[in-house]
Amino acid sequence: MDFINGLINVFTLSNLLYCFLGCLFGTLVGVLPGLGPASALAILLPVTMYLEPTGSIIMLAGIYYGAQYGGSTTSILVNIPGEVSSVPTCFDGYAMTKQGRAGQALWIAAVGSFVAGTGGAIMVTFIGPGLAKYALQFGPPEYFALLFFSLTAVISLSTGSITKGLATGVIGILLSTIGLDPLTGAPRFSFGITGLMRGLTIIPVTVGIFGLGEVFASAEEGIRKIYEGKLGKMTPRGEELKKGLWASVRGSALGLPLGVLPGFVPAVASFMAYDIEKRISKYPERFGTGLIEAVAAPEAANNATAQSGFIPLMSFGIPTGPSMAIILAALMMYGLQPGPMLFQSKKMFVWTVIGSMYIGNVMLLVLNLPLVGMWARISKIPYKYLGPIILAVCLIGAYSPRNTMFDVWVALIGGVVGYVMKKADWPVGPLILGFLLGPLLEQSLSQSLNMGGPAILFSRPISIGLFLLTFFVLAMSIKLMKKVPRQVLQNDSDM
Amino acid sequence: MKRATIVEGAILLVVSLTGIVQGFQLNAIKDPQRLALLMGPGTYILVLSFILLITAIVHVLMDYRKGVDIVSTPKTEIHASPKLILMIAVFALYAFLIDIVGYVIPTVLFFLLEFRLSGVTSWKVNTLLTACLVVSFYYIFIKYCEMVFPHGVF
Repeated sequence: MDFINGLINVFTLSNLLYCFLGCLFGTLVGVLPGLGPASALAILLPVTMYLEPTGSIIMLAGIYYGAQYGGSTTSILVNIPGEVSSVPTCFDGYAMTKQGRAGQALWIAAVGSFVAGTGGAIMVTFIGPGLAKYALQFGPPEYFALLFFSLTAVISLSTGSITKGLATGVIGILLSTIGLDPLTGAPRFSFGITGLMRGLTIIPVTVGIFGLGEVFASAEEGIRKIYEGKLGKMTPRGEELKKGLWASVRGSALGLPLGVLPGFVPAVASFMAYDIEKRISKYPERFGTGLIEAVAAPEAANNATAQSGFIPLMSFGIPTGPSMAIILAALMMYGLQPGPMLFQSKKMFVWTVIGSMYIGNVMLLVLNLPLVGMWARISKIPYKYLGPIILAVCLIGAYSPRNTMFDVWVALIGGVVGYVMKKADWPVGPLILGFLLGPLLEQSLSQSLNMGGPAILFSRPISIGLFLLTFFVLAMSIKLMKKVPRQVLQNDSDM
Repeated sequence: MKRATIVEGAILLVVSLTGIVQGFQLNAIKDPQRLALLMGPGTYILVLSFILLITAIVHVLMDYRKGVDIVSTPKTEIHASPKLILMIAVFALYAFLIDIVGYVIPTVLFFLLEFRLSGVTSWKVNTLLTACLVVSFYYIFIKYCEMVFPHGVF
């Protein structure tokens, strides 16, 4: 009943508009190479602060899953992945374009994304609230174990070097300690500077590292090419259609559970889906020559992963990657702490956001199929026009939450650090994850220790289970990461 | 060992040592309020800094064990283009000027310079884009969102 009410609430003019704008921006972000969803979310987060919470989160969620849709367009038409998660789509998608079957590739990518996105929304609807009830049994030791578990994402965001990921993750946590100690009020790392005494907040840090860092890195890129050919027949038929749809279902089935685990950001899932399709295929040697199932499966997998990441976020307040961390920051800015209480006290908000995912997926299907030609042309817009606009929005974004120029300087320093990290192959994802989870980790650890010393962490069944799960996922992540090319992992840390 | 690894290791070492010093300083303060707490602010920072220190050592050692000769390794220094450095400088100048002369005039200068640096060579196009954007930004952020920017010292 709550879900029905939420779904009905989506059909207000303002919510539909925010959902549409989110999907539109998301597709745009997906289409434009060099601007990832995390950067877009970081840049637009301060702007959405002026909206009411439901509209803001609907829009941010739309940007996130919309970017997964949009990324496939340029992969298929011009062999340039708008998003890293669309890299595997290039392999066969572009080959289909060269054969004059671009329309079919775009159709199956959009439909595959729709199947996966809707599957993900169904999963959030049914599993999210049930899982949230378990969170009621969580005290500080369990939360500490859960946060520790979510930090395993650092491994898969580590761009191939675990020490780099660990180091940036720890630096992120250390950065979060800047300011006054929450329990004693002692200034930490302030060095007598008033701005530092107030502490760093998530917005200037993410706007700098993701937004400005991305623009600085992309400013050096040239003008991209555009697809001028015909799209050909859009809907695949007969055996092609069957193969494409089944591959979409397989990709979704792979991506949905992976999305719940920390660190399994969409690009990893899409690459794994491509790999699995190749393994189970009767003709693996033909992969890369334009097979419809090789387009459908990775596209479905990346959308499924993106969508199911909302389950741990909504139920426990645990982000599975940097984009989710930014959405969590947005929730916190509105004073909303995800978890079971959110499902109880803010029923209408939660169910409206979940309901908007269904509507958003339909909107994305409409945006991506008939308007595909327009997106292909938009992808041509050179950075010389976009860069300065994004820079100006970044300045406003960093300034607006606390109305202080100190935050703008923090963002600028963050931008230079982000640019250097990208150039030096250091992952930025773990830094943001550490920065966001750091205060929660400190609080739960401090409360746990005051409750019963270090032993309490290993005396409760849920926390023991979570610690064991942490080691299992760590081992599994390291094993699986070896199968994904380093290049994909490097770029993936931005998701 | 790669030159880049030495620089990376040195940066991590400086950060971790700063954290260790800060942690000890915080723990040295005797405050009755803190005595009841099992984990003071200094302890948390100390633990994290030691983890970072160990990570830095492992990172450098792993590269050292690979046995790559610093002389034979191609240079991996980051060279930002002069254009990019100028873009960053213009952004910094923009942030600095907002505090002194308010929002509008620095925004006009910022767009004119950044578009020029980004490669918009025609002053006609540049001026048109700047005018449109300054007006749009003013109405969206100052009028609609009611954001308050510094008014400047003049």
